[in-house]
Amino acid sequence: MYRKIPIIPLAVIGVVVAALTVGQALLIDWLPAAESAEAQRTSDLLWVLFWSSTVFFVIVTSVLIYSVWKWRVKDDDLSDGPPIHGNTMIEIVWTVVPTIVLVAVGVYGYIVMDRNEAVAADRLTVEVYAQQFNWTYGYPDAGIETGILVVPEDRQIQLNLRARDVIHDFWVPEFGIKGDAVPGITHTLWITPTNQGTFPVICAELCGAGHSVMRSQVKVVSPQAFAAWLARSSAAVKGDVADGTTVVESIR
Amino acid sequence: MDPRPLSYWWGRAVYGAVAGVLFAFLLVFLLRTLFGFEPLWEGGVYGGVAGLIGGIGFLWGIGCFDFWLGWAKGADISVEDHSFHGATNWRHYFRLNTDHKVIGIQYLAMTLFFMLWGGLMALLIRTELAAPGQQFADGETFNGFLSMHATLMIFVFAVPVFGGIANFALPIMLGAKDMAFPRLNALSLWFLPVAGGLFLSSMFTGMFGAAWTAYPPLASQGTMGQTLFELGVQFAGASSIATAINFLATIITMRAPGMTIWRMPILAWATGVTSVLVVFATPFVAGSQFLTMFDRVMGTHFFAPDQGGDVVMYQHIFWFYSHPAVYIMLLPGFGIISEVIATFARKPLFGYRAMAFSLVAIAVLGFGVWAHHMFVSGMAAWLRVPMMITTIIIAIPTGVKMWSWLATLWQGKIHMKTPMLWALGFLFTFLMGGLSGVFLGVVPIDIQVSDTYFVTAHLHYVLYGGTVYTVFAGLYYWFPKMTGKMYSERLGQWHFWLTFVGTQLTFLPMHWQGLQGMPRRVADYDPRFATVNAIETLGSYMLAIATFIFFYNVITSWKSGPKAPWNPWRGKTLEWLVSSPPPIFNFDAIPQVVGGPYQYGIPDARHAVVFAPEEFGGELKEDTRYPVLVVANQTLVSQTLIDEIRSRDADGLWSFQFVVPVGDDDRSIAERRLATTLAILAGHGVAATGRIVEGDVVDVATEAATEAVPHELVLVTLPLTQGAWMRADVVDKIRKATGVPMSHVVVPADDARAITGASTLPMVMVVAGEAVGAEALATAVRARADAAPARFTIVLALDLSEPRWGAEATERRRTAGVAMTATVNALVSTGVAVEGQVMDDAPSVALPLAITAFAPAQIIVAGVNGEADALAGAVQEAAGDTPVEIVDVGTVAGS
Amino acid sequence: MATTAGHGHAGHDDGAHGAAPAHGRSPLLLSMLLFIGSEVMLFASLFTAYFFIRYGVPNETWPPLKADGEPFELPVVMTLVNTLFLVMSSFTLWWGEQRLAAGDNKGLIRGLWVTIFLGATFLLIQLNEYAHLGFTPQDRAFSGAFYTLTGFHGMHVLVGLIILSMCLRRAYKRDFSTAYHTPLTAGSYYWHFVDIVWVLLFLLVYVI
Repeated sequence: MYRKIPIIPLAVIGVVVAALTVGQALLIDWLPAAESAEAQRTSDLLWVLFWSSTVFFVIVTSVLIYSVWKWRVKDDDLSDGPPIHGNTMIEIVWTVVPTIVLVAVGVYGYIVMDRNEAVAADRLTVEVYAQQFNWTYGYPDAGIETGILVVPEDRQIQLNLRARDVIHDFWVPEFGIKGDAVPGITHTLWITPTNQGTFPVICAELCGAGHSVMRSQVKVVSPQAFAAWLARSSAAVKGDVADGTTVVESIR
Repeated sequence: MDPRPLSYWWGRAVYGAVAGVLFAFLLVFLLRTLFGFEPLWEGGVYGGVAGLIGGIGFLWGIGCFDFWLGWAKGADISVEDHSFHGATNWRHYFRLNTDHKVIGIQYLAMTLFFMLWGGLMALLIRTELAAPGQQFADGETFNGFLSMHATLMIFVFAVPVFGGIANFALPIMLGAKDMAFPRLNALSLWFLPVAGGLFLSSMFTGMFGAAWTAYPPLASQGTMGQTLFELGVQFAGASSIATAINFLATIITMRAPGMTIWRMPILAWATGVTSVLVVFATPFVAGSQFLTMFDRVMGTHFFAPDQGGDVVMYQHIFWFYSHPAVYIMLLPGFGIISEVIATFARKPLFGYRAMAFSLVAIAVLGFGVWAHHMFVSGMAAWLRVPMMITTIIIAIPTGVKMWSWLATLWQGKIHMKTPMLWALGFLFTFLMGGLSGVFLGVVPIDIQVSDTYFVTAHLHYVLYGGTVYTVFAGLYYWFPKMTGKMYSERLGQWHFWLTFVGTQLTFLPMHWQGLQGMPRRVADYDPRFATVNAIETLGSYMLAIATFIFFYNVITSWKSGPKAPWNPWRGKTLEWLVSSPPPIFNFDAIPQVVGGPYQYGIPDARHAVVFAPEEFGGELKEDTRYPVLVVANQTLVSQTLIDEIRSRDADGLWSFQFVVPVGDDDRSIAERRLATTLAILAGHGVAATGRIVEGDVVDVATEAATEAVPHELVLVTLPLTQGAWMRADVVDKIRKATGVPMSHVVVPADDARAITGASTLPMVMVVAGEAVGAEALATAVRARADAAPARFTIVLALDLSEPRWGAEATERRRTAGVAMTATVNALVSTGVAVEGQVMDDAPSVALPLAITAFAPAQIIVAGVNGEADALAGAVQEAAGDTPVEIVDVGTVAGS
Repeated sequence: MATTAGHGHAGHDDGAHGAAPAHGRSPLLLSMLLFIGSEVMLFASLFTAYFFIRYGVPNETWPPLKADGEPFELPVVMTLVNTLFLVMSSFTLWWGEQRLAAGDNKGLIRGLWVTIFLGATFLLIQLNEYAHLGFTPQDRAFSGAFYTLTGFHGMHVLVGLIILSMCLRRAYKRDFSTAYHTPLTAGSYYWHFVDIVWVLLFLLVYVI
């Protein structure tokens, strides 16, 4: 049976398919820049999954193309194919091998998940409030609320998501982290930004007519700049406490 | 058949719906007044109750409950009442029908109708998204489009469409005469327009805009449309569950004798497993919609956190159905693909038992993965890990199926007909969707891509590839069986290729968009996504055009396509043993299953034999040809008769036996006629035999019928005024004497004399000089005809001298014409297919022209008085390779 | 478009469709079991809601507090009595079926009457309880779940009573015999299911 496998034609087709697949994988910019530790780990995981998928994709597509090319017949060919009902060996192989690959992928995925959610002792906690259709961020220690999330670089940020009306979702693509803000519960996310810059905060759960435009920003600054901003804002608020919360102009 | 017209039933249905709505309003008004609920005119409550009671009123009006109500009232109702069974004209498709074949087609019509609406919504979505910024729809309207799109596609297209295909095909494939509960079947069907109607009617009240997932608290906001959505889901769910129960009862209790579960076609396995999924999962979506509806119209607080409610609870209950729902939308399609690939690769399905077990495994595991839709929802964090594991594991049985389909193709004899194209397209497209599903199953990746276009890409790859492609495969595969017509293969290929390219164009770039940062369900987006969105919109228009081609193909083929034989695909399952379309109760005789359904490649293997009723006496097999007796004499070789036999032969099921009673006629003429007829038919690929029998037509026919026990006796005669048989009233006499079903074909006299249908016979050119008119020539031609049937053209070259319009030329032409006509008539009346050509020029000019024009297979040069040799010279050169025979027909003493 | 082909035979002479199953199982009983399965799942979804509200919502005391600060109270004793009525009705139904098996159609009729009476009693007592509970479905999530669970159950009892009445009518017409009583069996399956769901409901909601 093994001698009958047409290695060369299959390999040729396989190489062509693989080249096309890998080519578009490498030539296209698939992922946003990874601006957090979590995004970096997830990005590595994504590529592992991609390469394993490519192997299966190439095998299946090559067999498909080869079969159609080799065994296609005309309408007036009334003959049947060989009466092959099964082959235990090959059925075992094609059950066991994918299982092994999938288990490996699952284990790797669990490891990434575990690392991404390991809580650091020196984390900074920010309260995130989602409502139709804007975001508010609260820094309880400093007693301020802002419309733009400001965080220091290279420090784990704990975001406590809360929703005031319907379900929303806090998402920063560059951070690779997202979570629903659900009325009635506090949903906690952990992000460790690794680069400075300004990135979009996008609502990723349908929340009504304004869902498409419910956006905000996150600014990652140096720890010194952050501390300075926090102190300044806090001082500005202390002299002007009406109901305990004020929306403060964010850092430029 | 129930005699009441369509207007009666639809009038009742409208009356029932309107009366129900009014009654609902009255009821709610009274209750709210009595119990003092404020405010009195709460729209959602009225709308909800009106939708419910109006829907039930519609169902009553169309007749769904009549039988049961009649029984409850004690009326004299028989279970065997078939007055609503079967369809003999188009009207029967527009009202209540208990025939599973009719119901199946009605299901398809309804679900495809809703598919068009869902597709329209998709086009509206894509048109709005064609460029950044608002094109024509604001956020709320857009949310309505996307909600309506998915709701229609899922609840009233993808889930029930397989109910339609299986409804038509499965009972026949199992050897049953109908489903276990035909009236329940009809009720299930009519739930669907109520569900779809409720969804669509929200366009008047403000479309529901919380997506098909309808998460509270968003679902608690919004217009009455949301309540109509919640109600519509209930009706769709009820339809689904009732159909599933019906399928399971049919599969378990109504299989043909000998059909063990391991001899069922895989579609039966797929439908059975799906039905189990439906029965046990659908109530959860019903529960979820009850809870949101109560929150909306009754003021409960299931999902209000400040009153002890739990928002995420909804998602658990909803997805506990909605994940199995995707398998409900896929597994029957898998069954269809298995059927199509086995038939069009002419190979047994690889690994039948593994295929059956993998269906079960997918269904069972499918109950344990629901929370992979909720990885970012804020649910209990520990639950994500087991859900990731089960989600990844489900790829294994699915993979087994893919490998098995590939193995079925391997070394097969692949016929690239339209159903097979869809199957191959499915393999590719679903593969991609399945791979992206593994990505989504891994939690950290899902956290990145959940609620983005990556998910949209995945779901459309698996649903377009897994549901739509398989539906089209099934529709094209069973189209001949359902309609009795063949679809246009060319249009089918166009449909497939446009769809395939359109699918990739529309959904492939979405993977990139999602990863890069475009969320789902948004009416507007970052301008850097403008180009991909524009490409996807173009792709979606391509899909729309392809879909229109499909409908055009269906409609025109059904109306005027070529007649379909019983078994156009040479399939082995039971539905191919009956006519296209099948008889009203499917089988005239009980099939006996003796083997598996995919025994391709084994020469004498059989899936089933059909035992004939007593009058046929004995066992019929799936490749038997039933005998048809054709009784004719003078009408042999007529175009009418040839056409009649050819048209019947298209069924692929008859063997024609000619019986030619010669009373007082010349036997040799009849023999010649018969030989010519059989040769003409053979040239058209029709297998026929025949014999001459001396005697009276009634006696001969009776004896032949007794001997052959034919399926039918076809009597072919001249018209009453022109034939001896008709004057003797033979039709009734034969019918009484034989008791065999009879048809009578009348051939006009000139058709019988003309022998025009002989085009498949080889042409023999007879070059005659003055031999025309000679009896010897006719004899020679007859002798040649008796040797092997052929058609003849007698060519006479006059060699007229100038001027050709002169009196002498005209006279010579006239004389020649008379002689030629006489010869031709004499020959035709003795059963030879012949025509004559008189040409003005000399033989050396005329004959080469004639040879080029007629391209004969053989040339005979007949001459009298030694002229044959002279003529032969003129012929020889022009003849080339064509054999030339020289016949001296002796001396002629006048004509 | 016709589904009849020109054969001239409309043979379906093997008796009523579905009444002579090829594999010896009654389609009606199988269908009733499947239907009960789907109803069990419906109740499961409602129980799920109840459990989320009871165990899933943080900071919730049990029983929850009403608006006036007092905890919700359920009439456990009266409902226990009611439960016994319903359980008894299952036994009377079973007894009626046994009488039929012994050829006593009148016994079946009596059994059905008592069952219906007990079932109707159950319903009436439940409605009375509703009137005297002291809380409405709109009070808190708990009360909504309570009314939904018991309300759906009550509707199923009502449907069960209708089914039993149809069986009673057929019993009067002497439709059932020792040999043939499939619809009665199907109806009794349904009634027992209604009973079992109630026992579970009582234990999980009233008692625990």
